Amino acid sequence: MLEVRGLHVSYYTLGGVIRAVRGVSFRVSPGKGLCIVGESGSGKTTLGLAIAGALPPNARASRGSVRIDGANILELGPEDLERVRGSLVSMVFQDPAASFNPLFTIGQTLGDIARHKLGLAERSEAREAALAALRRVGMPDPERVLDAYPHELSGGMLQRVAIAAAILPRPKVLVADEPTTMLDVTLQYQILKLLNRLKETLGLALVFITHNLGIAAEVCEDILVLYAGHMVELGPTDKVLEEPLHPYTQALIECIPRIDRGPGRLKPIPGSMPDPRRLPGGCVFHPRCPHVMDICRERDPRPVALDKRVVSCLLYNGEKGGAR
Amino acid sequence: MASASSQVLWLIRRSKLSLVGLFIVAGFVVTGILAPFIVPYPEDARGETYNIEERFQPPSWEHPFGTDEYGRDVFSRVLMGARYSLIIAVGVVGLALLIGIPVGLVAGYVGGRVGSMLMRVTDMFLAFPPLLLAIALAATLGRGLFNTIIALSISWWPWYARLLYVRVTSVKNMPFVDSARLLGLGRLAIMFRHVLPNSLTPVTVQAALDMGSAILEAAGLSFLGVGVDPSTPEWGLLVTEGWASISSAWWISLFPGLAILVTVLGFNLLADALRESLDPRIRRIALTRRILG
Amino acid sequence: MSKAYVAKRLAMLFMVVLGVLVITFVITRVIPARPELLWAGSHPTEEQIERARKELRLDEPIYVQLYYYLKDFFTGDWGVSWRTRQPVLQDIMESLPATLELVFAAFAIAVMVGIPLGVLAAVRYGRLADGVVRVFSVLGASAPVFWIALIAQLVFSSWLGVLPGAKRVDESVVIETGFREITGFMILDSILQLNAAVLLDALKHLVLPALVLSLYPLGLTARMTRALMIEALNEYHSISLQVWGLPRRLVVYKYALKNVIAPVIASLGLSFGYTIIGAFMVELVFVWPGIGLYAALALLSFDYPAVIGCVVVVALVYSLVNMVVDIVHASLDPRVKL
Repeated sequence: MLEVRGLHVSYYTLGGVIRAVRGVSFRVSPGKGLCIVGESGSGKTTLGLAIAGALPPNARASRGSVRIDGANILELGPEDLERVRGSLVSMVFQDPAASFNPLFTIGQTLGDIARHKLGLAERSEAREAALAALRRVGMPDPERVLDAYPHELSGGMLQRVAIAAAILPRPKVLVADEPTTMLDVTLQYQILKLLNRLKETLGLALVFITHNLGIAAEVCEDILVLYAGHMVELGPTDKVLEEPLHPYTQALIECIPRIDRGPGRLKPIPGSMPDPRRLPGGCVFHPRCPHVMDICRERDPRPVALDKRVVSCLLYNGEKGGAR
Repeated sequence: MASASSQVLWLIRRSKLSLVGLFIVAGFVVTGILAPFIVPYPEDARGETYNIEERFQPPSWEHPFGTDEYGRDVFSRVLMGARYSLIIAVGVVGLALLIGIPVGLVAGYVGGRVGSMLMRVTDMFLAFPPLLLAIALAATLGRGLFNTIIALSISWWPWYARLLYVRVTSVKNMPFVDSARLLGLGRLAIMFRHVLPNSLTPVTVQAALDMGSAILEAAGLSFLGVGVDPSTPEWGLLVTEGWASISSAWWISLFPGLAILVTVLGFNLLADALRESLDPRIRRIALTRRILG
Repeated sequence: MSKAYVAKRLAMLFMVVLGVLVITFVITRVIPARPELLWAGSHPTEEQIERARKELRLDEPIYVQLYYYLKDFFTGDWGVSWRTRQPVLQDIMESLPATLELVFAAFAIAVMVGIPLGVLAAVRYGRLADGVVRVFSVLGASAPVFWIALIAQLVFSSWLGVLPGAKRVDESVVIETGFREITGFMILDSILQLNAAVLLDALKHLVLPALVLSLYPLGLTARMTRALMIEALNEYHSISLQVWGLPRRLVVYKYALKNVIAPVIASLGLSFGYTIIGAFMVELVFVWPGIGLYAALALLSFDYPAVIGCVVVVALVYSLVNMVVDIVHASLDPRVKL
């Protein structure tokens, strides 16, 4: 069980403090998936890195907790963190080609992971574990892949290998940061299917990060919408997609091209994501919001539980149902 | 390229070492220009005197760097040496640019058979280790300030030709050059008005910072007896003059060598910091530090 | 690695040698107004000048001169030194081992100290150790090597007396122990003959000049390693390997380091160039009987045939080292098809 509570993450840079994640809370049960949706700069990758115990040294989780089966990984020292990475939580990244050191074969990389994480001292045992991981991700001809260098494999294959590397030490939580963005559409679908299957068979708690709401429905039971580091809406996938409550979520859904809607123009969201160092006062979304009210410029909305989900919008503060 | 100067300012504000380098280089240039007017003993600096009773005096208030075997003030000669080092540095780098820029520009922009021929010749020169070609040339041309500058710049230009060549080949495929072509500008106009100005900055910056190496190599030539004329107070020669008596009068060699070290260090500190800031890969790191801790 | 690749590199080496010879030809025969004056020694008689004219075939067309220049080079006729009165090629062959011994010692120090220093600086990026390494490596690249040699000799040999300041070995030790030359490499020969006294003495003589000579390439190697290591540690793969659970120490010293080694090796050729030229001056100061001392003395006594012989041979050794460096570099990277 992954449980994030009131998490705040900030970067300390030469240009000042950047508060990338501001008060995010959610839970993911084993075998379930949560999708984090947001534009670039919304803090979704930072959130993923925080969960994976891999924040850069100039980032600090200033408040909140990330608990995996009860243990708060934000409180761990460097050595414990090294132990936890891979074994408890792992992560795959957007660009599979950049995720592997080009001078080592897949077998060397996976073998080292098996040796250090599963304690397999024997070379043959480590190789066997690596093979098993490759088979688990449905890799055809795993023997050949083990002896290959990264540049000899295609992007889709490498992303499968990356997933194999991540699940090899049998983590409880897997963070997938836009794992399909750089792949062809047909491959995207295969990777999504694979993640879905792994989630169910291995009992993984899957955190799927994407900017594409359309993909979310494929793998995740729940959706978390992030805007400028703020949790905007969190709820079951079908609910959020069919009946979005927050104006930002509504706008995002208007942006998804759909065949069943017939001809017509997609509606882009006016304006752009604010500079994280100069966020507007009140609700961060108010400059772009079609339903903006006077109070939105002054008050920061608190998350409220509503219709099986959580939404942070002043439209719903104090009243049920609200205007749409 | 408009941001180049602001980048330099940014870097100098960030790194104290580069500020030290800037001070040294500025001090060197000022000394080099003003040397004849500020040396305490101008005749000694020019090497016209022979004070037999003042030979081999250790450093004192009167002679901060001591005196040499002719009783001349080493401090004056070292200050005057800055002038010669400055002349050599500017001369070598300037002449090397004068050869290297046309070669690199033509090879990169025209390309084809002419281009590959030019680069083949350039590579032939680069097959010599640094300074070796200059030694051969200096041995052929004979000693002298001018010959030293010629010898060094001829072994030097291929670096700039190559640097500019690489830069030009990438700039000439940039969109703004294409649009100039579509507007119907002639080849020469494109070359001089668009490609050259946009390729020149890295080469000239590199060249300015190479002046330290020019000073170092000129000193090496002097030490090997194929540099400037024996009467010239060039730093490398001053070190060499003190060699014979080094065990009794170490100051004669020590101070001019120190002058070389400090000056070249100034140029190199500046170059190092600049490289750190201009190299996009290192720069990105300096700003974000993505190393996992 | 395929034979075709090595053959290609050898063919390239041959072209480089030709290029070197053509350039030296231009410098020695085309640039000077009267080349025979240069080849005739320091204070030549009319008769010597006339003989030089004949030997250089200056009355014949330039391409004939070039032909004989190349032919003489490949047949080993490199002229006679005015200073030693011996064939230049013979002189050079006799002094080459001493230089290579010194240069390789300096080079080994530069690599074995420079790479760890560069890695240390990168791992402690922006901290004190990084600053110290950076300043030290810039200092190494800024000091005139002959001056460092003079000062080191003065301090450690003349004043402190802890290390010998001249020559390769103490002659008396050589005579007493009946040491013979086999390969010309003192260290190797003394090991071959199990001669501990000469070995120890030769090592003692080697320390000071080798350390002085190593400063420049050491700084260069450290700087190069630092920059590459910082880059490698910031690649996504260094991050993803750690996220997948590999210990940081393994990611730094096994994975990232391997990315650094190949390009550092590629840069060693230039380091080697600086080292061998530095040897000219260091050998002169430490009276090290190598090709550098030979060349330096030739320069100081206007012994032109000897100077040009040295220039050619040093350029050859440099090209050869660069070829080896290229082959090693290429064989380390699986992405390069050989």
